[in-house]
Amino acid sequence: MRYHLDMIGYDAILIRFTDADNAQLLPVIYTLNRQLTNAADLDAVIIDVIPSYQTLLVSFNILTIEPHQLVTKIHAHIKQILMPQSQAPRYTLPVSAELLTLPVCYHKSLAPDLESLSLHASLPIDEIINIHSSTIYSCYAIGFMPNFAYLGDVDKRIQIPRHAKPQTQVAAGSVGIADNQTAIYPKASPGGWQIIGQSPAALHSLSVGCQVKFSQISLDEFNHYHQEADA
Amino acid sequence: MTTIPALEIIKPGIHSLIQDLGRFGYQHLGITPGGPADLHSYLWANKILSNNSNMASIEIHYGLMTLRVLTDTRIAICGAEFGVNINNRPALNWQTHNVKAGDIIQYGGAKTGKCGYLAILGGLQTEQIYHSRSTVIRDELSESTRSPLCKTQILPITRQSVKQLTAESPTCTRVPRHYIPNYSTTLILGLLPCYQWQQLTLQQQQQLLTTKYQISAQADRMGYRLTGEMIANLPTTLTSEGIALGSVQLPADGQPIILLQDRQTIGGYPKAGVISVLDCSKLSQRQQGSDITFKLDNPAVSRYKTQAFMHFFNL
Repeated sequence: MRYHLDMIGYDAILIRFTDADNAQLLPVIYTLNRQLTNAADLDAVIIDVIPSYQTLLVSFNILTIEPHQLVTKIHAHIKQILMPQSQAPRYTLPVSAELLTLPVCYHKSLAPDLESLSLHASLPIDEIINIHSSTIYSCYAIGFMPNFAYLGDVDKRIQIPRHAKPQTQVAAGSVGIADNQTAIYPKASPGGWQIIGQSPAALHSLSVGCQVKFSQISLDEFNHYHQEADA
Repeated sequence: MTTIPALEIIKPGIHSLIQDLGRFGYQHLGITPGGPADLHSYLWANKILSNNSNMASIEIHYGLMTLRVLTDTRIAICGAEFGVNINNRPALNWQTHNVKAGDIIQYGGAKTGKCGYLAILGGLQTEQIYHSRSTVIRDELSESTRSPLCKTQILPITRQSVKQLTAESPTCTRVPRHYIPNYSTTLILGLLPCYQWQQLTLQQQQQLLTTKYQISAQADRMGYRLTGEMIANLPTTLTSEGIALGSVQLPADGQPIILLQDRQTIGGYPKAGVISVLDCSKLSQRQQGSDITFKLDNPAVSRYKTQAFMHFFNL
């Protein structure tokens, strides 16, 4: 696995991994993100780490470290993960305890694009729900808005491109598909993803590397969640 | 810490927000840092009050704000020239003013510059979320940070800061004249080439560095879209990566967007490089139609200048 470090201006370093696919990179990026965020020697140095599919952007305090010193430290952290002296590589995804199961109601009143996906995929709606809720997804990146988690990979059979023109309003909690990604809209917003259901757990805070599974709930159960939340 | 009401919004103005230094350490959750559009005048307003640099003040875009003072205290006015009046008498920019309960502070429209700061002794004590009081409308993090100031809103300060005032001498503090910037000069931004700079052709690089751009109508705290001769055949969208402050993004339409305090945290458009935080401050004071050009800058020199700036303001 290859990587290189680039200075971004004078107060950030971009770590970019190459020649590996996103699924292979995820455990490395997850582990390195944790390591850089928690390293005692970097506590007063690092301001923000933004992990994404193939990169981590590390912004740092220019009063507490010289750029070349931080570059050396980052190299050491990466080496420790990729090439530990005694054991197998030390990058792993979080243990299964961190598998989050999020309820989704796929009722047609909450899933404006489920029927067109069914036509697009030439699969019955039940089968689409079954495929979507039986896959374990990984969180590759967070962005677009706070807590908007890009989850992948969506099963090839139910992939569908974004709407050509974004919808002006997508409800909070909406579960969408865009190509090989799926996500929950944490709040109401304009958006272009194909909406196939809604989760009452809209504000669940996800992080890069965490594992997610969806479980189907009925409309009654969905309404019950909301009543509980309102009570 | 007990608080007391200090300012009442009579007219919120065109776009007035609460800002402290911003929200750091949460970009991995997609939460943008926010913070002052013009760090330079924000920091001066706190400095002449002997406030901590992170104390929250009002960021006023375009002016036309009117406030009523609810307790005897001291304020500082810095940034764009709005022609501020206190009780219908002109109040000079770039200095502190002692104000009394019942005083009316009135902002005109921006004459030079675009945004200004009204700081108050001890800082505004609005609600914090993720360790910051900064308003970031797009992020909708909490009631108190999701919307601009509105009519009848009351802004509190600490009781402690009022006690502090009575113990101090009543003279005003001014920003020394040679530190006051001129916001109407033509702005040349120092580009620090990075990100996808090497993937641009020599011709595209030259074009970015020689084109005279204008600030378009799409210029706000999220980003400044420039208009000028289109850069053709740019690299297509790439895998999303973290976006640094001041990134010069080049979307497919070939018109650069400079991403600022309220930027998205990750994105997939190519970027030619970044401009320094000091240049971001200057840019935020330029209005629609102002000319902008880029020149290549040296990262080591930019870093040195920013370090000196941070030392000066105790950051």
